[in-house]
Amino acid sequence: MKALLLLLTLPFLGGRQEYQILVALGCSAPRALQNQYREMLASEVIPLLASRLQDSSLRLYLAPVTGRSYTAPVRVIETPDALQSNRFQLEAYKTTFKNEVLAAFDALRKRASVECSKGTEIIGALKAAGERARGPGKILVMAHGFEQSELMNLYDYRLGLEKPEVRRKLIERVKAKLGLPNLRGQEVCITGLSAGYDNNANSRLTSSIKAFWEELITASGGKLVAYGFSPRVCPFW
Amino acid sequence: MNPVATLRNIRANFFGKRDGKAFSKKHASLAYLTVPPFPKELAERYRRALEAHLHRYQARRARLEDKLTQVRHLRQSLERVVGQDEPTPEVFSHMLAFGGRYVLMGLIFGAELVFNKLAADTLGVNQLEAYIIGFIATLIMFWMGHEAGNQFRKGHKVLAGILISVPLLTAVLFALLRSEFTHRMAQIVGAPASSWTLAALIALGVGLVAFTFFLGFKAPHERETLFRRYLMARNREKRLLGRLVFLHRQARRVQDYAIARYREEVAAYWRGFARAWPDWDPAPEFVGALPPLEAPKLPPEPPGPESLDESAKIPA
Repeated sequence: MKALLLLLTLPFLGGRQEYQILVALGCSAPRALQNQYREMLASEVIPLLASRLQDSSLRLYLAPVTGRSYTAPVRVIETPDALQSNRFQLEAYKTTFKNEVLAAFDALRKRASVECSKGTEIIGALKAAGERARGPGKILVMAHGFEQSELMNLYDYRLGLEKPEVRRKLIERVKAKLGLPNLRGQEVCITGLSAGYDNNANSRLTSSIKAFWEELITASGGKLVAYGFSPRVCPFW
Repeated sequence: MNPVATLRNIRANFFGKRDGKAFSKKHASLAYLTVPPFPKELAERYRRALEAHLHRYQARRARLEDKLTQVRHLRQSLERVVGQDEPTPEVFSHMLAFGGRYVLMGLIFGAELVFNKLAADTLGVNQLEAYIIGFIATLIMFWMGHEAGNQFRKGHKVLAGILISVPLLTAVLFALLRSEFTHRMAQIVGAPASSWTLAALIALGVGLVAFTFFLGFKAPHERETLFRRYLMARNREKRLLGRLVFLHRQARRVQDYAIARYREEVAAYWRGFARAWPDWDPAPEFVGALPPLEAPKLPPEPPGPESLDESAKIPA
């Protein structure tokens, strides 16, 4: 049915679709990685989002993942209502949209670099995203996946993350200290995963990190739909 | 207290109320003293069962006859209108053709709606307004094209020509609009538009109008629709007549089987009786008393479906 509606470009049912993009910025990701994230945003994420502008309206949140993610500033971009605007305008808006998103990214990046703080609070960013969401939505996390905060340090290879009870203990610790994020109805996609230049990040560690995130997001009521390097692995575009 | 030895049970055994298990306890002389009531009871039971069956049969038959009256009334009134008509091939088309035509009409209407909406986008209105404009234009195009085909079939060729010109002009105009849309969009995107756009769009629009015309042309006349309904009513009546006959025969069969079963049961009873009373010595010609059981009279058999064909035959 949905495919048929898309085929005929028939009415755009439903309200705004919410997308949240959480990017590791500031001192949480090396400069080269940040450049890669910007590249991904410009060449993969934005074209995919722009192709939906003709028949749906989006609300896009850009939020940084830093050492203090929970209180970090956020940019919101709302695209014009597709039903209430002309198709020429929508087509012309596509370039504007791209520029807006990249400008917002650059502003966030600049500010995060200035307010450099140690650590990478991915869970805090997810918690803030869950509080921001107004309904079911999609969350794209562009970060390497190594949480480094008061809660835990996933870089620590002596953690024994491959053991289920260790992961369970970590999640319980999150529950006790910060509270699990409320991700009900949210689809989470973690991309930008990389071992970076870290010799400790071998495949065993990264696969157990994936298991950890999957368990955490499931416990928070959300769904981890994909986990990989490129945002093309996310099924929700 | 032993329930076997209660006064009530002793009496019952003696007088033969409970003769099922305790035959052997009685003396043979008792068989001469009392007439065994079982066959009579059995006859009574069967009579009641047969009455109940007759009742059910009558109820079913009444329901069917009621339906038959309605269908017959419909058939007769249709026959008065179209009974003398020559059936056209349209009447005998495939059973899916009738609904299939409506499906096709829906598809063509939808295709015209999309065509018109995409053209209305050029007017600079927003998409919701484009849908509304497209819908109104589609209503006009579809209705007039369909009516044109219908009038053409009826032989009003001039009227059909006037009617078809409106959707044709609309289609060409909207094709022009849409090709302008394509060119403007090409400017925005920065990729050149095909020079075949206009021709293709005109072909598409004219094709849609032609299909609408064709659907109107193929729409059956009212008399054909009535004739089709007449044939369907006739078939239904035939089926109902057949079912009535079947029901009647079935009822008769059930009665026959019940009577046969009754006879068998009584015979079995007497066989058992003789076995249970070894000293019993009836007259040699006595094989058991069979209380008479008559099956209740069924109403006369209804006429079968062939009666309809006979009545429909035109007398030479």
